Amino acid sequence: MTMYELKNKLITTLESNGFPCYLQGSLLETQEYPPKFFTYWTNANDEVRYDNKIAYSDVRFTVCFYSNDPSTTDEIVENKRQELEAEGFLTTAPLDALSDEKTHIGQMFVVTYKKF
Amino acid sequence: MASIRRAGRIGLDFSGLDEVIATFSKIEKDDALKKTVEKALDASADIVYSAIKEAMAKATVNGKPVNWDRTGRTAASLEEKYLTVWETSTMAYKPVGFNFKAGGLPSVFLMHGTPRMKPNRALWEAVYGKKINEQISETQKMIFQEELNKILNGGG
Repeated sequence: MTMYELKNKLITTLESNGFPCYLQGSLLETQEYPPKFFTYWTNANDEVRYDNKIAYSDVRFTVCFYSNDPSTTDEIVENKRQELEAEGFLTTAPLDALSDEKTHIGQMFVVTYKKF
Repeated sequence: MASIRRAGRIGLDFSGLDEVIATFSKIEKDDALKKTVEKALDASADIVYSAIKEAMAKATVNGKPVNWDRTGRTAASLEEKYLTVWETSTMAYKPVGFNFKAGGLPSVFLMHGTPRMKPNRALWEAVYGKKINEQISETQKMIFQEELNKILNGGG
């Protein structure tokens, strides 16, 4: 699977409930937060073989979910983690994430995929 | 080498660690192992701190350099005087990084960003990156070998 396909798979899974998904940091200062949305950011660590070719990459996506409704946030994040796990990703337990807007709360978790 | 660092702490991890510890244990020279472990962990922490400081110096938010002196709390919370914690008689770790209770929480937000602020990749690399991990491993291995040589060759 190429990185493009992997990112597509992640974004498609995140957007399956109709909440949009953006790259973290890509919203403009003047742009309003949608009521509920996901963001992602990619990090990766490569494991190199003896011949300097990449054996595999640990691709880590930091996924954040922002919502204006705290009462449903936990449930949405938990269901999304299960969906991602069913797609072959590994996910960590969620932590609080900083929101620029006082109207929204954020939760963050790390989604890992071992790419050969 | 993935286990060398996790959530705010540094442990020992390099190829041949078990064998070196076994050799140290056989020598039974006072507290040579304890001192070497602490020396290796101190050197490892120094590597992380210099990487974090470099990332902090270059950090920007929405294109503008971060003013670490505005409140000074986050920069001051970069705790560098943690003590080594011993888990067993041969295994230890050293806490590193920002002290959240002393105002270090913004460092997490800086590392992970917000919808309107891009995450700081250099800070992430300093805390989780493979390059720093490899540098730490090499330093730890070198320190253990040096100390072992000193003892075996009577130079210690």
